[in-house]
Amino acid sequence: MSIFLPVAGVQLSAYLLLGLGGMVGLLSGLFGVGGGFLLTPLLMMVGVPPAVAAASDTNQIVAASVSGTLAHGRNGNVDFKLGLMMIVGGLLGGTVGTGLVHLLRQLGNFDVVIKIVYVLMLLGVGTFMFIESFQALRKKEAPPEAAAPKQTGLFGRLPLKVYFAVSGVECSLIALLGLGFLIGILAALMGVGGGFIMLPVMIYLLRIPTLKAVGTSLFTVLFTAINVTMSQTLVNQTVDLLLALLLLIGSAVGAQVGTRLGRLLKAEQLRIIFSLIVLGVMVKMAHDLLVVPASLIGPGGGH
Amino acid sequence: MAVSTTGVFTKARRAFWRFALLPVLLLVFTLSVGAPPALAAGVTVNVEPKQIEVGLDFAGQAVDISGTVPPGSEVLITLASPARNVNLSRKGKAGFLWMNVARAEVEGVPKMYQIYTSGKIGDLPPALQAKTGVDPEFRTVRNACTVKEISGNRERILKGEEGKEYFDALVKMYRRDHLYAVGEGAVRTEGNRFRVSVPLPPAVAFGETLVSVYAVDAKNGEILGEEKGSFAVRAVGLAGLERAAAKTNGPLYGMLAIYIALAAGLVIDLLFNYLNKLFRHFGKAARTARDSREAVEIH
Repeated sequence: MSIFLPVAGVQLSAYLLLGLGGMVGLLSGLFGVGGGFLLTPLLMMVGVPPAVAAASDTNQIVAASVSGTLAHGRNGNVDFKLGLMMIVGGLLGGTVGTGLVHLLRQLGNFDVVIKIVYVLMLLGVGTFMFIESFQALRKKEAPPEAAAPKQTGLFGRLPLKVYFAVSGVECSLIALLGLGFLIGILAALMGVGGGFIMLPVMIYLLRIPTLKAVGTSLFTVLFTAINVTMSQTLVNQTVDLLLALLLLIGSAVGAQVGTRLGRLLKAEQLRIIFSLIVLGVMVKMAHDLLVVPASLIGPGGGH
Repeated sequence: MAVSTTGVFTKARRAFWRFALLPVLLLVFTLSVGAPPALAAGVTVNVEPKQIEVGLDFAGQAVDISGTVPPGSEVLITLASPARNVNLSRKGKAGFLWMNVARAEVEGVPKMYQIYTSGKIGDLPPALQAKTGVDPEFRTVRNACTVKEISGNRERILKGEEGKEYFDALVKMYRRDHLYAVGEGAVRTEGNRFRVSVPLPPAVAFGETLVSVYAVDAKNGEILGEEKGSFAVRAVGLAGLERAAAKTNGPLYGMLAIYIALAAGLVIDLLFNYLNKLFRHFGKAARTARDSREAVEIH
């Protein structure tokens, strides 16, 4: 069944869009990421203009993250209190980061530096996660997660400490706001949602159990997605509601399936799959940067 | 008194001939010498349908263009949708990396431009191609648009040949979507009548598309006559509502998009939760029935 998308101005199969949404929603439910890194290029590949693909994809993330957050929350895997702290820090960081982008662009070579930093960061995080999860999997016994309240390393030594019962960690509010702030700045500099950075930060720096980190990360992604959707409709007028609707039905269902699937997997297995996705994205980015593109001129807009 | 009345009438008649009829004659003379060739050469054009309604089930539509031309003349037809601005980006080497090094806005380019002819385009003299816009490389369209390129802090305007690289890339994309097309020999002629069926793609351009029909003498490179027609493409129903809301009421549309996404997420979660409970309930019931059956068998 083909359907004409009024803002995108193209005709596409409704089943294809539901399927694409479902696939990305599955990733959201499993790993607490938005999935824009995958969906935007896929939509462009099937003929959706880049600006419409990027904006409508963000609207779809809203539905996937609500669906996933509720499903994770029902199982007690969302730390709303901790998530809110990260969101406040993230919004402040995002605002500062947007200003910083403007400033750095004037210095020249900004895009080159930031792309290199992003690729290296994905390589570092992906490799570290892969090795760590692989070693943990090889050990028969899983590491004791969610045992006694954990001090979150250096961050636990800062003042204004609060105990987060859901995550089972004790952490300084300053550290949480600071981390959220840094993630917000990085996301703005790199033009991404931040889910990729959020999950490793929660697992390794805040020492939140993997499944709870996924649920809480998804909760923070919801706010970023709402914020970006609103600005896209106001500034670019490129959200195609019908396209987003088909995607979001698929992704909300996918997020539910992903959440349930995540519960069947071990934390280490989840982390190892996530690390492979991070490394896959890194390889794709490195390929785009190093290999001569098929066409030097393409449509503008998009991420 | 009667004589004087007759004199007055005679004078009035002379004045009529001098001031009223003379300009009329002049007008007739002017029209016969400098009239638009269309009228002189008898070119007519009829476009059907005149309104294309794009709904959610729109999968493209054919437009019939027919009419008359002087017998023996060749027919050239161009279709041009309203001019608009398009954003493009260009990749280049920055150090050892391929990155977006410039972005450009192509101003005044129609989203759809199609050419249909009754004969070979190669037989038309270049001057005639330029005059009619019947050129397989769309040079006439390129010359009419401006490319504004922004690279770092530098902004420059590229006109005509300078903007060729951007324009050609844009045409390549539009050709892929069947928006730019050349139908050489697609116009059928019979006596003084011509007809062509133009397939509009799903990615059709909205607004009023201008249809220009030329009757030409290809050997001498002369335009024997020309006529214009048009058809309008507009979104209707839900498609129309959505387009209008997205373009004119950003804040409301944005809020609506977010509310729909939130509601969809909520409803699907409730649905899954309900199904979950249902399966658990039936699973439990089945287990209880099996246990009691086994208990009876043991006894």
